[in-house]
Amino acid sequence: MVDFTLEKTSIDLIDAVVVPSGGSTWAGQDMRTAHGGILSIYIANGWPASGESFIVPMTVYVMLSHNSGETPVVTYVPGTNWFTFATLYGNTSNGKAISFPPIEIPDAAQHIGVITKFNYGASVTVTAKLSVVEKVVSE
Amino acid sequence: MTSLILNKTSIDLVEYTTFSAGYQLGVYDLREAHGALLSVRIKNFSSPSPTFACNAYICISYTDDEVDDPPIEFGEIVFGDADNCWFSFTTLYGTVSANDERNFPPIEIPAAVQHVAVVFNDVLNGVVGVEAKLSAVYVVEDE
Repeated sequence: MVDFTLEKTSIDLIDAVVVPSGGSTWAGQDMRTAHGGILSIYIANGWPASGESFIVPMTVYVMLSHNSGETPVVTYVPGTNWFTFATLYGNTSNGKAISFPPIEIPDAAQHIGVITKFNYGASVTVTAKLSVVEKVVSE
Repeated sequence: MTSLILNKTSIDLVEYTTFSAGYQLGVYDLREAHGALLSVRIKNFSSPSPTFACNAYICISYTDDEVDDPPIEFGEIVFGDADNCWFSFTTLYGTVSANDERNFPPIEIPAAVQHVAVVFNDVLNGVVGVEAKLSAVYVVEDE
């Protein structure tokens, strides 16, 4: 009998990036030969500058691409290259952090993208961690 | 030591197109695939917006041979037809709101599915844009 095990790789897709008010950050991952993965996203609101207020929360878009070529530049606008996988909403509480439940990435996903938009009034720190099942290996 | 990775194929099941009556259809043979992932979107336009929404019918066939397209009679998909053996997998509903856009979460197609089809249907009196992309999975040895 042959035993098969899984080989997994940890990826810092977005590594505690501070997104300023009105800014954005994004990252994509090639999953073309992978057996799926799992993605966790954590956002931590900053504090507005003196005399300002946190007006619009951050939105985190998890996108999926069916492209058989290299990972396209990530956009939150669906169609052609990227399609919506999940949308995660932050809030406008000063200093508030949210750790979202993990998102399971199916085997068939070819590329995964994460892009943040829309936080106005304060910065938000974003972390996105991915575990990819790279291959099935016989001992 | 053997190591197995996945090889994935991209399919434009229904390439982006606009229409206002009738239907748009895409079919793919998954008999040798280890499942697939399907993304679907439906975009309404204004002036006028549809009075009947466009819906996306995801269908699967149990036929272990080549298969005909799902039969559509009088605008309705005929399920359970003995020759074709198409059944409903899920239905994604559009709306009649002007400029509304439905970007549905991806649909996982299980490994046991032999054929998959998408039928965009039901739209009336307004233009919609539709698109369906599929990634099918095959297992290969890592060389």
